[in-house]
Amino acid sequence: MHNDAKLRREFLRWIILLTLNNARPSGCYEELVLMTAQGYYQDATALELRRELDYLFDRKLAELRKEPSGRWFCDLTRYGVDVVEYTVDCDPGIARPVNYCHG
Amino acid sequence: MNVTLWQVVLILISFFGAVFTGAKLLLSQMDRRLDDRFNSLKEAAKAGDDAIHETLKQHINEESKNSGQLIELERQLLKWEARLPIDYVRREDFIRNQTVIESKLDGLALRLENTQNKGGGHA
Repeated sequence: MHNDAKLRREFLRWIILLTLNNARPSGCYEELVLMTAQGYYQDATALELRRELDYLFDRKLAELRKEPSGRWFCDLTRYGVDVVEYTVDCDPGIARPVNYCHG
Repeated sequence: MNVTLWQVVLILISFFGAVFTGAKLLLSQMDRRLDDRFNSLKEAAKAGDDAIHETLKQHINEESKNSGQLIELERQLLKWEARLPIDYVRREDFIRNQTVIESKLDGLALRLENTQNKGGGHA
C-alpha cells in the first residue's frame, strides 16, 4: 500500500511534467493539468495536484504563478524541459521511466 | 401775374404726373432688382439641393455596397466557424490527449521495468 501511494505520487509528478512539456511554450492552468492527471488516475484531486506542483516548484522543475483569483498557472523551467527530454539525470522522487524510445 | 384756375390745375396735373412716372420707374427698378435677387437665391438653393441630393445618392449607394460586403463577410465568418471544428483541435484537448497517451505508455514502461526488476536475471 505504501509503495502504491509512493508510486502514485511520483508518477503524478511525471504526468505533470509531461503535461507542462506538451503545453509549452505558453504553459497552462492547473485545471488542465488536473484533467490530464484524471485521465490516468480518475480519483486525482486538486489538492493532490497542488501538492505535487509545489514539489516540482521547490525542485525548480516548474514555475508557478499563483493568481489573485486563486488559480495557479504553471510552466516548465529549462531544467524541467531537460528532465522530460532525458537530457539530464533525474533525481529520485519522480517516476520517470527509462528512455525506451530514444527519441 | 395772374394765374388762372386752369393753369393751376394743369401745373398740378403735370407735377403729379411727373412724380407718378418717377415713382413708377423707381418701383419697377426695385421690383426688377428684387426679382433678380430672388432668382439668384432660388438658383443657389436649387444648386445646394442638387448637391445634397447627389451626396445622399452617393451615400445610399455606398451604404448598399457596404451592407452587401458586410453580409458577405458575415457569411464567410459563419463558413469559417463551421469549418473550425473540422480543421482544428482545441489546444487544451490536444495537450490532454497527448499527455494521457504518453503517460499511459510511460506507466506501461514503468510496469515492465518493475516486472523485469522483480524477475531478476530471469527477465
